[in-house]
Amino acid sequence: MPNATCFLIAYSVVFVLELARWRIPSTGKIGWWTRVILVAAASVSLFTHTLYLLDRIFLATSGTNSTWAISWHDWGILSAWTLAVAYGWLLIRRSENWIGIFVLPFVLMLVGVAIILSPKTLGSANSATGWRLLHGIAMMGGTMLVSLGFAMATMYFLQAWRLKNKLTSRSRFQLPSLEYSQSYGRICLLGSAASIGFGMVSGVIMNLTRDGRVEWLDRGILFSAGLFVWLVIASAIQWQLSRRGSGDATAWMNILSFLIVAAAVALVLSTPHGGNKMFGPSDEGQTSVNRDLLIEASSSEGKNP
Amino acid sequence: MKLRMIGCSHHTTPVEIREKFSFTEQQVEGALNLLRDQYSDCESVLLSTCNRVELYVGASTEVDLPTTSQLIQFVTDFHQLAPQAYEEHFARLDGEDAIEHLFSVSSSIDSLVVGESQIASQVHEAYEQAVKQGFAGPAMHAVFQHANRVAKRVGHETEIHTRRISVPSVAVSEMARDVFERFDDKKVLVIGSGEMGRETLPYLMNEGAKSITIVNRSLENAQKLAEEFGVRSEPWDRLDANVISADLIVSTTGATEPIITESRFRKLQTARNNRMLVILDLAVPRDFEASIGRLPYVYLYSVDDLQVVCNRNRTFREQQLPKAKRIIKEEVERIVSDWKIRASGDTIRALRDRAAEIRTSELSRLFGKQALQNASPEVQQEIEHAFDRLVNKILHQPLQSIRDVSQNEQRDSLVSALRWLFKIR
Repeated sequence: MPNATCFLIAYSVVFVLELARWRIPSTGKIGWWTRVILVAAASVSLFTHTLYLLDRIFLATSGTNSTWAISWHDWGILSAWTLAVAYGWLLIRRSENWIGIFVLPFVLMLVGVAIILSPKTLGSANSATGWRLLHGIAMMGGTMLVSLGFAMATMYFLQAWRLKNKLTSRSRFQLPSLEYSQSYGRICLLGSAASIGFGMVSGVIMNLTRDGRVEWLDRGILFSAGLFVWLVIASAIQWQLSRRGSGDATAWMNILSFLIVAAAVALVLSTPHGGNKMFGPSDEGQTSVNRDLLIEASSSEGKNP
Repeated sequence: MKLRMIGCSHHTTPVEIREKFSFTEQQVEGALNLLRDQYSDCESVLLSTCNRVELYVGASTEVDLPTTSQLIQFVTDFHQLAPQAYEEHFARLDGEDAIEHLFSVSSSIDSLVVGESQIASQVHEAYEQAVKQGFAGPAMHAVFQHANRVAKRVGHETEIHTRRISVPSVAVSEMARDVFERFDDKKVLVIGSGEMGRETLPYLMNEGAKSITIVNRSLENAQKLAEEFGVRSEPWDRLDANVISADLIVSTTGATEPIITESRFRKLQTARNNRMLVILDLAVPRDFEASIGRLPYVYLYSVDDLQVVCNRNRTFREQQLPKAKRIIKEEVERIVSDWKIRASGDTIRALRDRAAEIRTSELSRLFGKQALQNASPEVQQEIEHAFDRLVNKILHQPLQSIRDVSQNEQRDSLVSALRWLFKIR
């Protein structure tokens, strides 16, 4: 079974190959072979990553019948995997574009952080119910979408700068069109708001079904709720500004959302919601929602609780 | 197999001369018929484009091939011109040089615009026409089919065709494509109905643009162009309304002053809600004030901006030439080597046939003699085997020598000597 270092190296090779495209012709036989090698390298990376993830899932579910023992390491690996899948899809759909250098750093960072974090689960105490799992996946999905939106926004501004400076992109450094970056940036923004919103709702349901109450004033919950509110506002602002013609609105909202997510994650991790204590059925009554929110939020930033 | 070519192209011959020698499709057929009447064992293909007129002839032996002077005489006679006055404009190439030239032409590295894609199909069409009319034979099949493969190889292994180099194509397929992902939902406004507008419209339609409006001072001209391309036309007083609704503007008028100033545009852009707009100002003098390009969400490109890209792309294509030439050289060597191997194979076969012929005639003479008429079949068979061994042993060494040198320069002289010694035609 591959370990995380194995696919970290594989992704690093893919990243180096992406960088090498700067000097390699994008068309003709060489360009075609470069893309084939890139797709092959990305496939190998994703395959080993998937195997490792399946192994972790097997480990997480092997304890008891109804609970999942998930570590911070696992969330990091899962987050990196979702972004890697998005990268693979973009690589196949738009192999002529240089999207990898904007997405792969996130993948590498998440895998790197996951390696630093201990793969050991926090014992039987770190078990999760179905709602907790849904809550965690939704929060993680939202964070990943914000990261992808940030990549789209960066490409948008770079392409806009090139076009203003009359530089065509039909070179070795091809970027997606402004319209593409803008529309996928919008999808990421709306998707992240929906995903984080779902994460909030599932967290509340989880708490209510388990504890019969929600600690609304917990700082972790407040920051997470603030993040959700921001994403809703950002989606509304970009929609409104786009209607008024501001082409950069979506990109700016994506950049701001990413910064706010980064700040929110850091703030959540500094609270008890960051899960400094072991989770377990016995003490879940205290800060269970808070801790769950933290798990997913911090998984993208890789802080160990 | 022998090949010869005469022709004139943009490299050495001005257009005033080239046009005198150009052939229409009907004339090509007539000319090749005439050539066959004069040189019956000669194959021919005539390539006539706006940049070149080239006549390729081929035959299995040198004697069947007309000389270059005869070919020039033929072409000038066909056009009822005096050969002496135009002789200097004709290039004359033989054998490998002619093959290399054909490969260069079909790969478009000999074209006025390096990497242009039309020439490969023009070469193929010229060959197809010759095949259809029965003017092409083994020599022409071999070189023209190979030329087609070489053109494809050059296209695949170099980036000679990748960058666009005409202003309208760069404007639409590079600049506008970098802004818009799709064109079928975009409103395109073409201002002016001049030549540049006409040239740009096919590129726009090729990219999928469906909503195209032409606005021109003369509505009649706009309508004519609109009908030609199946798009809409509107009168000049609807210009502002169309600018407001457009996503992409292509401006090509002959106006001496900018038709849209910055102050006028600012008002229009406000009405547009500052929506993203691409303006391809292909007019000289420019139709849009240059300062408009500094406004947010407006991407304005003038002919000069686009020309810079065209030149850069042209240079890029030219940088591919050494690689393309290397491929052509390899392919010429390959086809010539194939021909030589085939030629030595023919000689070997002819030599074996000659030996078999002598063996058969000598055996029948021998078995016709009284003393051997009553010989048992075993004895007759033994004699036949002895003759076979004798022939094989005599031929073995010379044939082995031909095979051994089939890849080098000695081969030609050895094969010629063998053909001469054994009187093989």
